[in-house]
Amino acid sequence: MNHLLNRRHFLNRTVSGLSSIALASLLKDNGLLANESPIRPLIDPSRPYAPRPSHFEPKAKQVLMIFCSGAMSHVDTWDYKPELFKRHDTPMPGSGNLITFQGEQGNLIKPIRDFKPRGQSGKMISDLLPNLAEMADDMCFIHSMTAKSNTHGPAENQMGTGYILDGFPSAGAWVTYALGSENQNFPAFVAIPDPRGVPQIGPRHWGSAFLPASFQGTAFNANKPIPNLARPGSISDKAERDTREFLKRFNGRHLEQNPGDSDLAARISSYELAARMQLAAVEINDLSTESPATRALYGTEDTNVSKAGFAKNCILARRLIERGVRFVQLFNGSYAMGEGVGNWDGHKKIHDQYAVHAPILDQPCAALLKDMKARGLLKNTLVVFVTEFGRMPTFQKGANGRDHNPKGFTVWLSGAGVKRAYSHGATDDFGYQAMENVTTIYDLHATMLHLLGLNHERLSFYNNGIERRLTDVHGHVVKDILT
Amino acid sequence: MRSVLFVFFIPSVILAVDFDNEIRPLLQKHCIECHGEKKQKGELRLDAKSYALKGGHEGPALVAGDLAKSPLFQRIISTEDDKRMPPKGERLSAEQVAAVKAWIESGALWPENVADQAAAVDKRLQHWSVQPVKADFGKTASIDGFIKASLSAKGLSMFPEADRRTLIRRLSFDLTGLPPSPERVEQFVRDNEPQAYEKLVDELLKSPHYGERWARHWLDIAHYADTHGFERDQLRPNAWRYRDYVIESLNADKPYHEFLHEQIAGDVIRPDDQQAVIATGFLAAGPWDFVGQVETKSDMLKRAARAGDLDDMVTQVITSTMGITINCARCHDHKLDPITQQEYYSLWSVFAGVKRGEREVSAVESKRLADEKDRLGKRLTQTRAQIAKLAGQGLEIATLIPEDSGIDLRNGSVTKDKLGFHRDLMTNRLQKVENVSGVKWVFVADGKGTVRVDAKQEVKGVPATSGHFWDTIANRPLNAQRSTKLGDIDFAAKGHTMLAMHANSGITFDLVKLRELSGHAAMRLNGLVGFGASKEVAATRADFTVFVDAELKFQKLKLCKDETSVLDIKVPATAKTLTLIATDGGDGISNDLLYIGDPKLVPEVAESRLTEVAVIELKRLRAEVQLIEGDLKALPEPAKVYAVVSEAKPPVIRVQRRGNPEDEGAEVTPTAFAWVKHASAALGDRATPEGQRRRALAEWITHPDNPLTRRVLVNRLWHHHFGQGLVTTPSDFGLGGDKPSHPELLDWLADEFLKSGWSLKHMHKLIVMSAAYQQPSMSINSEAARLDAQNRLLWRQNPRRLDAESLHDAVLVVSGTLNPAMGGAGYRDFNYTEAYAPIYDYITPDKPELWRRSIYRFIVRTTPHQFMATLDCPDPANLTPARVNTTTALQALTLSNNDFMLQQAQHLVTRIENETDSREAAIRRAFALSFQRDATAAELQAATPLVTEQGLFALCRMLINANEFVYLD
Repeated sequence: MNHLLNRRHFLNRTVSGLSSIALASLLKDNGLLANESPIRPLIDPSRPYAPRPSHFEPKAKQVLMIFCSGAMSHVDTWDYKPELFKRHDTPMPGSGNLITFQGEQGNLIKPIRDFKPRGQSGKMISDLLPNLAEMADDMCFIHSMTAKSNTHGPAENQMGTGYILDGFPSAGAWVTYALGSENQNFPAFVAIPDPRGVPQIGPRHWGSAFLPASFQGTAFNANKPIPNLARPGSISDKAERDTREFLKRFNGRHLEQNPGDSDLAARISSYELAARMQLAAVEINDLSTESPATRALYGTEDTNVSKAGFAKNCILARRLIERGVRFVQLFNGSYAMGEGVGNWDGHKKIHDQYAVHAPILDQPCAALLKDMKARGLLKNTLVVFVTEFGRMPTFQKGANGRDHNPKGFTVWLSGAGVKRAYSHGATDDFGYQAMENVTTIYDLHATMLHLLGLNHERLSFYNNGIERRLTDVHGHVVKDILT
Repeated sequence: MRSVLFVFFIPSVILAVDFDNEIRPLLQKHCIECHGEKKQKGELRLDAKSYALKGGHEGPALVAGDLAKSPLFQRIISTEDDKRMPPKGERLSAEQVAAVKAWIESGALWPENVADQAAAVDKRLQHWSVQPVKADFGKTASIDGFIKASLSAKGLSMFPEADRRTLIRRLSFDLTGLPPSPERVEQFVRDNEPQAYEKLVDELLKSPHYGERWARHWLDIAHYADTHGFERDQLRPNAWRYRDYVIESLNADKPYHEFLHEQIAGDVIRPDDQQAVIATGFLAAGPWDFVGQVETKSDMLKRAARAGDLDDMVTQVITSTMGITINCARCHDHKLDPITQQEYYSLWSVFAGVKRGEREVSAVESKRLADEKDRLGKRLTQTRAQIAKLAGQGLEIATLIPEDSGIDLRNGSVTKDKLGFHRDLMTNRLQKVENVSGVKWVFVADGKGTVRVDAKQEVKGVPATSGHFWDTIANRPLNAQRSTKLGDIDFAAKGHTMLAMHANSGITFDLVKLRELSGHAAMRLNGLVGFGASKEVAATRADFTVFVDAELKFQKLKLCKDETSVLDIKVPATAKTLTLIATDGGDGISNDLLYIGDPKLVPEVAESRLTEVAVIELKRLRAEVQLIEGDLKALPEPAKVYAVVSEAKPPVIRVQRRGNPEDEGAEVTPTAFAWVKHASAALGDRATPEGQRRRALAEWITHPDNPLTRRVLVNRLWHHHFGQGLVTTPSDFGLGGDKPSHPELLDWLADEFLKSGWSLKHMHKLIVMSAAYQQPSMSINSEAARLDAQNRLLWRQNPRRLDAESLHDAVLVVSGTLNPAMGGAGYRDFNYTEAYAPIYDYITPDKPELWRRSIYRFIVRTTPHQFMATLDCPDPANLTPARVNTTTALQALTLSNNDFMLQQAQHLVTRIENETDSREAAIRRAFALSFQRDATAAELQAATPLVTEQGLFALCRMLINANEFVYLD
């Protein structure tokens, strides 16, 4: 790996303020770091998004992470449990006086929709998401996922950043810090919030925390463009060009007089990138170039405004992936509207709430997967479909809905480097607790990084005394699901 | 035991195993890499006898004579891939395995040699930062002496001092966070006095802007914000007092050890000193998880949230003051520093009784205010009683309606039921009330046209409404009414009456009938109109209107929670109807819980019926009521601050194995860590009261012999003056942190700090007066760059980009809009929407409240401020000893197009136009204001066509985007 890591070269060009680099060398000289020392990406401050080599040959070059906010119930969607039908409305054996997030538990309740075999593989998936179910042969399920927290905020933090506390860099920030991007006219990392709003932890899903701010995700969607992107209406195109030209010359002369600071050059190029981004970002949101067939496939003209909005976001996600953006995050559901109203948090009336949310997700998201497959994008892109935790197989006492359940739930992957039509791990007979091949979010993140050619134990950043990683001090690559 | 085995079991043939020749080399070759000084997988070391016998996770590595209990042997013969040692490469040969077997069976004789003994010594105890601070430097020692010495050791030297303009800009930004005025620059450049620079330093250190600037650095370390953070990021409306405390303390040059004392234990040391109480806002400054600590029903989640809380507090205190990454010992002993997990939890027990919360700044003051309120309240009641006595009792109109009942708006009947939301009734249609004497009609008003209040009477002036309604018009609190109190009177209590009217209800009284009932002719309607919603719905509004016949006599629009309005309306002897109407304030009917307290028709006292004395007395009493009411209104709420809420009896703290709150181990007592030996680490025992624990810790931290506290602080100052510290990891002085580039200089500064009485301003002056500080930053010395690319030796100053706050504030100064108001609640540049998780939408109104310095920004923890965050303003979830500095396209877009920048560019235009009278003068002024220098002839020539064609705005917008504006030489 040494050719990637000419430390002196890097030191000379490092983003100023990243004294951690000097520190790492010091640690090493002091013998405090073992042989498996951090692998530092070589970042040219004037081109922070330049593509950078991975630690080893990657299977995936890009990531599309789909996040369903509010905790999607696995027992009503992906995780088929015949026992729940058999034991409908009876107490869950061994549950005693189980207290979960909102209090006491009632009886086991069968899934809100029937399950049917799907695709060639015959994978059992419920009727709640019929279009997505059709894509079963392209999915690789992890049915034994577990989360560390039973509360939305911390659990979203964990899925997004690896830690239940606030203040850690998001997975996308880590990936783009390591790898840069294939597209120099865009931020390397784009987050696409649901038209209804943002999830519970909001921008922390795409924050850079203590990583350099260059690697924070840029949030925009089909309705809401990048902040401050457009030239203000009061300024004419000519005035804009004249001003920019003047600024460039002025900064150029300032640089000549002050050749001792490389940051000055970096800042000049940042204005040039900004100008290119203005063009690229307008182009990418112009969905009029999509064929009517494609638009119909996603459902962009649906009379359900939330669904049509989400469908447009799905097309935007595909276009960003097509243009080489390294990490795209697509959100389904928003938090601020409250419990279960705009998201998957079905505590009280899960039948009614899921009848609203499922159709918003289903057709557009299935179309996205189908379209990406048809265009060959799944060859290089890893799709990761997640939620913060699962839900109980029981209903809450005195309510018609399911409480939080971090002890076992389902996520699925698709595309580059993962098996198709495959299921890894399992929960118990009721879907309450992961029993077989118990998997953690650390493992999921480790696997994601592995597919991108990154060693999750060596991708680290020194912060306040610790070499921080996306996977903390945990994580094992789930080798079973890899092709 | 071993020796016993030795005696009994060792046949001479096995004695032949020679540890030093056969076993030690095996350990060396196959084990030490992972189980030695550098790495201790499974917490096991095999590089010294003592370590091997102490063992790791699986207990001792070997037990003499017992192969089954010797993991060392079991691991080398294991056939399981994940157990076998060594894990990679060739297995040990059969001969080697046999040798180990024989060695253990024979008693595992391990003669200790020098290497064993050396390995067993804990070198970490000799780490530089925990050694006493050197103090014997002699009188001639100086910053420049140390810097020059290390430069000349490499054959390098310093640059001569930078030009005056560079120096004054650097000093101004460093010490006050603001640019100097062009006039002050000019004056300084021309000042030939040898003391000119020093005078400037003194002037800037005296400026109140100094505290505003340096408070920002301290608040970064304290991860201060004005909301809780986490899932429900609620407001902390009184956190700002702590921010002001920091500013004021710095401006007063409060000795640093006192500053720390107060922040850790001010409420204990001086409970009656408001500032000392406010200071503990430091311990509460970080995030707090409402859902985890309060809302969840799961005790397990509560324990986890509290654990996170204590970790945050302990980490903040120890890293900020002593630069030790204590939090690394939460799940296991510290991997690098000699700090045990037990020591970490012992620090928890110092804070075990500390909770973050809103508290009164001064119990004495709060009591005084409460007493005063009580006294005024009593006087008011008495005075009103006297008025009633003189003027006659009057008729209670609420009690016309039977007790605990209401009139149903749908049919005029009396009901005891509480009704809910209705939207299905015809509006403005009178419903006859048969069973309430004195009441003629009820109706739902919509105000879109005229409103009928009597059979042949229509009125104008009722606000337009939704036409929906809620509940009856009642002689009791309304359905879902939260409050029945106005001032200090509870109108639901005995001795009072209330008429409750939710929007959009109307009621018409029959005055003819009421005159019969009361026997009065001319009357006045008296009462207090109030709003019975809870605090949470403070945003809703409602209106109240009164008509006598068709004449509008009273109207209060958009009444809100906690607002009251006094009714005192003339009802002439000839009037026929009295109509009261509650409407929805235009924002829907929810929570419009209006009511009138003690509504009465009192007789309009005919002067002739009262004695002259009584008339005068009545007038006096009415005036007195007004006075008392004024006094009550003027009484301030007791001052509050978000700070430490202390529990007298702190809970017992136990070690949490693997950092898991559900897996507790041994009890710990308040103790500091033993690595630093300046004073006893014991801070108390199980019985020590909460506050005394913190006080003891504060004293331990600020002990003059504590080797870390002073070093860490002077290094922080150095970091901010030079862009990097002598130690480049300002909050990590442990083995994982950096070593000082100039250890002696660091100690000399720490010593000087003590001698100055912990004076920060003394240290600032010392540093900025040095020649090292006054060097240019952009000069090139290629030999120095080759030898010392990071400029650790300080062969020049370091150029720096302005941080988010300085850039924001500099723009305000240049455009002339800076609002210099100091202190008080932060400015809120967002729209706030109350919700389960409040929503913060940032806005950029162009007005003076928002032109204050950014230190006064109301900081929302979880919703980053786009402008500030893009410029690397840190996330207040994190303790930030050193900011990262990035250059991105989003910054370029933000500075070019963000509303704030555009508004300020326009203000700069206006300012320049006011101050100049020609194009050339305008361009010159623009350069002077922005860069505090004259425009060159070339610049003037280049700028003229831009201004001619695109206007002065284009130039101004460009200047505040320029590198020269954004970077500090």
